[in-house]
Amino acid sequence: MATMRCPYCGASFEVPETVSIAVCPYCGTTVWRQTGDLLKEHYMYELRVEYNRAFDMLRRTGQRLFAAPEDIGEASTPESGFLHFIPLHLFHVRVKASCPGNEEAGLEEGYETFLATRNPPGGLPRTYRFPTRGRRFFEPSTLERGRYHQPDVDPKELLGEASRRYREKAVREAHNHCEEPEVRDETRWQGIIHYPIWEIRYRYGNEAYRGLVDGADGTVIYMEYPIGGKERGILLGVAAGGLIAGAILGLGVGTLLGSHLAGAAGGVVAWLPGAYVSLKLGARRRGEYRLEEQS
Amino acid sequence: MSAAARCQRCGAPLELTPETIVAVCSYCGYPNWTMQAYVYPIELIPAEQGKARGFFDEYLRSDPDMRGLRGVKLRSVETVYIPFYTIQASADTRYYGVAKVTLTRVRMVRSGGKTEVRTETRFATVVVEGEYSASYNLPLAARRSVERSYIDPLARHLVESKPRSIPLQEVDWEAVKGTVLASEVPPQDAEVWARDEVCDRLQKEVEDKMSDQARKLAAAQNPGWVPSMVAWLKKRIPCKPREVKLSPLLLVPAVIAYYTYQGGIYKVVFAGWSGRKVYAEEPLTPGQRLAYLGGAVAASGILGGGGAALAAGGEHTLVGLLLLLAGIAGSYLATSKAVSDVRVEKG
Repeated sequence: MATMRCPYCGASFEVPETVSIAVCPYCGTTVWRQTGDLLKEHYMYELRVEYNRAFDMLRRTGQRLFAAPEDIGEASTPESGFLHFIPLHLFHVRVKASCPGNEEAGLEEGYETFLATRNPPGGLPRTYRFPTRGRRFFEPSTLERGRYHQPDVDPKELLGEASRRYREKAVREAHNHCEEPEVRDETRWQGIIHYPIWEIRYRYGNEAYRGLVDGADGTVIYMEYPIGGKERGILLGVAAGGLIAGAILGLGVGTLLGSHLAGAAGGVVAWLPGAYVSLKLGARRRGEYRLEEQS
Repeated sequence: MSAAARCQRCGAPLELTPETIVAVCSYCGYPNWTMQAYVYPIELIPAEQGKARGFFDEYLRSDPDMRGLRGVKLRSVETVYIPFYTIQASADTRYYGVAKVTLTRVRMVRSGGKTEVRTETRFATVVVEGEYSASYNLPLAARRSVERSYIDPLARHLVESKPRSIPLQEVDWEAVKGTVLASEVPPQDAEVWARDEVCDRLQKEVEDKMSDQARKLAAAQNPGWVPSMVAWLKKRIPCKPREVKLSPLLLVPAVIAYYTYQGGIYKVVFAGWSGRKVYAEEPLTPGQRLAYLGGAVAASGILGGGGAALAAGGEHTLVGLLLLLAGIAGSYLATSKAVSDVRVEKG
C-alpha cells in the first residue's frame, strides 16, 4: 500500500500500489496517482433501490424463470445483502481511416464502458449499459453504505479494446475508397463512473444462491437459481418425447418420399439441437440467469 | 464534490446534479438555467399528463397476448425524459462491383424409358455500377452507453410520429412529472455520428440494390436459368455525406411500467406522447410453449426427415441437405423459445 495526500482537502489515505487513479475517501476528489492531476469526470449513479426491494426484484425475476421451482418466490429466504460501488471506465471512441483526398473515408464514433476493477463480484458483465437513470456528482459519504472498489485497471490497458470494433468498421468503410487506408485512433478516456450493485445471497431448501441487482433501477443482472424437480422431469420428457416424435414424423415423410429409414434418421438428427437445449437445463440442479442486454 | 450553486434571484442554495437543465428554486420558484440550456436550444415533448396508467390499461385490453391473462397487477410506473437529437442527413454514392452469380435450372431428362428430374448449376460474372442518393431522418439518444432495449424502438417511433415539441423556456415545470435526463453528447459529436450513420444506411441499401442488379443482369444473359446466390469479387460503395442538419435537443418522454403476473415481474415501456408500446416483456403461457415445441418437432420431423430422405434418393442431394440444415436450425430455435423465460416484443 502507498500513502497519498489529497490535493483538495489535504487528508492522507492509503491506496494499493497497483492503482493508477485514486479517490480520496473523505472528499471524493479523484486524482492520477503518479502525477497528482485531478480527474476530469467522476460521476456516480444514485442508489435508489434499497435492500428489501432488491431482494424482491430478485425473487420475482426468479419466479418468471421457466426452470425454477414454482414456489421460488415464497420459499426463498434472504441471507445477506452487500452493496458494491463498482468503478467503470468510460471511453469516447473516435476512429478515422483516411484515404488520399478523403480524410474521413471511414469514420466511427461512440461511447464504451468497461469494468475498472480486477475483482468484481462474480456474474457481472465486463461492459455495462446503464438504465436510463440520473447521474450524481461523486459523493464519498454515499460510499459508506457499501464496499467502494478502487479502480485498479489502468484505462490505457483498455484503450485498444475499447476501439477495436470501431477500427475494424472504419477500415472496412475506407476500403470503398482505397486499398490501404491510414488509421487514426483518437479514442479518449473520459473518466470514471461508480455504479451501485447489490450482491444478494438467498437460500432455497438447503442450498445458498447468489444474485446481482442494479442498485439504481432494480434490474436483475445475474442470478443463480435452483432447477425444480418437476421442471427437470418436464425438460427430460421434452428431450425424449421430441426424439420419438421427430423419428415417427420423419419416418412418415420419408415413406412418402421413398426412403423411410433415411427419413426417420433425419428426424432424429434434426431433433438433436432441440434435445441439447432441453437437456442443458434439465440435466442440472442449479441454473444461471444473465441479463441479455449486457451479455 | 457537489456543486455549490445558489438561486440567481433569491440566493437560496440549489441542489444541482449532472442531470440538471433547469433548477427551480424551492424558496422563490425562479427557474435557474444551467449552461447547457444556454449553448444549444432544447425542446420538450409533453407527455400525456395523467395518462401513464391509462396506457397500461389500454395495453392490457388491446394486446392479443395480454388480453387473456388474469391477475396482472401494475406495480410501478414512471416517466423519464430522455434527450434525443433528430438529424436530417443526406448522402450519395457512385458504386461499382463485379459479382459472381450462381444460376440453376431444373430439367426433365429421359434415360432408359425413365424420366428423371435434374438440377443443373452454372455461374455468371457480371459488372454492376450506378449512382444513388438518399436522405434520412436519424434519431440519436444523447446519452452515453445507455441500455438499447427500448431506446431503439422509441427512437424509430419518434422520427415516424414527429410529435409536437415546445421550447424549454415555455415549459410549465410544475406539470412535468418524472425524471429529466440531461444530454451527454454535444451537438458536434452528434454531427460526426450522423455523417457515419447516413453512410452506413446508404451502403446497406446500395448493397441490396447491387445484388438485385447483379441477379437481373445474370438472368438476362442466361435465359431459362434462375439466379440465386451472389458473391462479390469486387465491391466499392464510396459514400459522400451531404447535408447534416441537427434538430434542437429534444427531451422525449418514455413511460416505464413494471407489472407482476403469477409472482413474476415484467417491464413494459410506452412512448409518453402517444401511448404506443415500444418494448414489452411478456409471460409465456403453457399454450405458447406447446406451440413452440410443436414447431420444433415439425421442423425436425418434416424438414429434417424429408431433407434426409431427399438427400438419400441421390437426385436432390443439395436441396435435401439444405432442408435437413433448416430442420436442425428450426428445432434449436423453436425449443429455445419454448423453454425461454419471457417473450420480448419491440416496436
